[in-house]
Amino acid sequence: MNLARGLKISFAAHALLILFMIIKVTYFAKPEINLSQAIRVDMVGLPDKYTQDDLNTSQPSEIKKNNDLPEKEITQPTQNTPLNSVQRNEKTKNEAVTKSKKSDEISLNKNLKQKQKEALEKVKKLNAIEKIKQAVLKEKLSEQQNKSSPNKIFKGRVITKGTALSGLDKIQSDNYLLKIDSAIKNSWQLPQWLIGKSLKTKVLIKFDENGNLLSKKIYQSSGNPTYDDYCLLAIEKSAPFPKVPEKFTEVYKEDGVLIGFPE
Amino acid sequence: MKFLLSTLLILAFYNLSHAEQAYIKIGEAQTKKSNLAFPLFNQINTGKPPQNIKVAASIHKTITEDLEKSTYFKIMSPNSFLENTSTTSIKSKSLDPSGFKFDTWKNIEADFLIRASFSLIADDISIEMYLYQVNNSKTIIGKKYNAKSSHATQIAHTFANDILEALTGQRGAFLSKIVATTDKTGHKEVITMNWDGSEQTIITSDRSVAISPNWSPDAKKVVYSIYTRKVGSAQTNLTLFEHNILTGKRTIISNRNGLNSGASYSPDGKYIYLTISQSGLPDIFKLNSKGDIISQLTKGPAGAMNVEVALNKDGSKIAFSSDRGGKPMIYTMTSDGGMVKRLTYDGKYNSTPSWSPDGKKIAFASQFDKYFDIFIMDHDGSNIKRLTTATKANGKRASNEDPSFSPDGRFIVFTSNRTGHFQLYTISIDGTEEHRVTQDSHNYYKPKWSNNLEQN
Repeated sequence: MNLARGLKISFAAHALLILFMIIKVTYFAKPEINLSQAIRVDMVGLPDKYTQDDLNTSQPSEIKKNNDLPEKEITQPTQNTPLNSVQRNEKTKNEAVTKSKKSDEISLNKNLKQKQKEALEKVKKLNAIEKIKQAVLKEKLSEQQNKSSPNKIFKGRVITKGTALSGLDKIQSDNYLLKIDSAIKNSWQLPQWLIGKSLKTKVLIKFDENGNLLSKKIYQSSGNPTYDDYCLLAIEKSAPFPKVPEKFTEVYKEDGVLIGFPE
Repeated sequence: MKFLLSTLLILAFYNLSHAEQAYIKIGEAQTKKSNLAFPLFNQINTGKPPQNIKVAASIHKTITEDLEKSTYFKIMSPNSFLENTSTTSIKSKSLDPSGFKFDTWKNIEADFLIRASFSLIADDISIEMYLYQVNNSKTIIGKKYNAKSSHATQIAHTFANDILEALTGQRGAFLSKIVATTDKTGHKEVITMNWDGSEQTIITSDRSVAISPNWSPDAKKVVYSIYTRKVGSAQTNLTLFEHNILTGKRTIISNRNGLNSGASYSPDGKYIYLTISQSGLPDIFKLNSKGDIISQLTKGPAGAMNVEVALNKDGSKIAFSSDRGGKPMIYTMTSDGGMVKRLTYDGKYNSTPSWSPDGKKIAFASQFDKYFDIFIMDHDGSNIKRLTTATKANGKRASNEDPSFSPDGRFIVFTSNRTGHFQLYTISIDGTEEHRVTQDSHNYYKPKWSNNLEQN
């Protein structure tokens, strides 16, 4: 009797555990933290590249592409067909099309908010785990650093959080990127004849702490110069960007942000 | 040591290139109509008799209307111009000291600028045109046109086509025509007109009821049907005629008992596909240009009618309407009558299919209540979209019928009785922009859009 009960509890507990693991792995999986990231920072900080001032500034950090950003693909405006909106009791197929368009738009807004909420909670939860991981990593890094590089000057630059931002930094960085995103999106316009041609351009932009554009260059051309021009124009029109939070100024000045038109 | 260093370096670069860059996906762009500034022509012959100004103004107007109806542009009002365009030349300052400055056009947010000069000496029109992209101060194209003043409209449409091609890579349908029937004369005759409704010409004078006209591929001939009775016979037939537009001559193609109507040429103009009801039931036949039957493509089934043949651009497929399934619906088959496929299942009455030039879409009219509306679908019957929803002045729904694709595939011409009379309209295939083509209080029926009629 006791054995059966114990077995049941054990089963339930195991099932719970498995469920927990599955959820954790599928939803809260973090990118692997690569130890070689430490080496990378070390090499970037080759001695004569940096002045004393540089060394005093904040650590270089990178912003990972935010997977939690709402999917851009679905935010494209649904085709504007005012004539069609009047229809009632009409062809069922056709109605279904327009209806789903409308509901798409509504659910899009909901989605956005919900996603943002989820992302926030997710990050909070992760924060604790992350801190522990970071501590372990730090230890390892400093150990390695002590071995591989006798030059202590760069110690401050070496001990970084790695390339993946986490916790508050991540939220702040994501929030800032969202601002840039919406600024550029507002001025991202194409003439009708370039719509639906599945052209893709990536532009690398760099800007200073006040959000003033320092440079913009085609990182990956669509092959259509006119399309590339419109991408650059969208960036030109949306600059200057909002003031950059202090801890990211270096990143945006040095590494910049890659903008994908449309992805 | 060296090895270690290089390994480290490689590792470092490997990581640099794989380091996650801050990355934003912007998503699809909004569609924006391009602001187009198109100042009046600079007149380059001195004297400028009033006639010149009139011709120049009418050409300018035609071009402007073409470009506006293309749906790509917002034509800027001359009131917004900061520059007196009659004092600057049609070239930019960098090429010509008296030229215009791009900045004056940038300031008013023009995306494109067309500058052109016009001269009319004796009977010879000469136009020089440049299209500029304002934001990067680039010349996109420059062209010269010379023609007799009787070809003023043609120059204007060619001009507009050149602008469109330079920007979009595709010429417009500005030099195409529409054929229809009209009750203007009190009878029903065949009428042709330019795509914008100008230059209307009634080409028949049968004083009968003309039905279902259609173009030959080169638009030099029109086929249509009228009611005839053979001498000494009580039998009335709907007879198919071919009308030569240049000579005005008409010839009988098919006068078999019953219906001989709803004709459509093969793309090479050698064959005519036609509905004939000599056996009692309307079926689709393939005829040679003299009217001899080559083959019968449909046969019933079970006494069903098969009408309204529409060939796709390469002539490989036919769309038609048939009531073999009970209600009239749209079907397709190969042009030898094989592989019949039903495309539509909804609505009371689906009719008059028309292929897009690329063969990917079919437009048709569908009846639900007492009215028809225009729909468009993929060639396999999927993805049906409604294009029209017009109401009459009394709030009741207007009927929109008889769609026909433009040769550039971007518009559909159809008839609508929203004014109380069946007038011709065009609509962009996304359903967003409608234009009225005919502007009177007569009726027009069964429009068909011609091929592009530009001679290069």
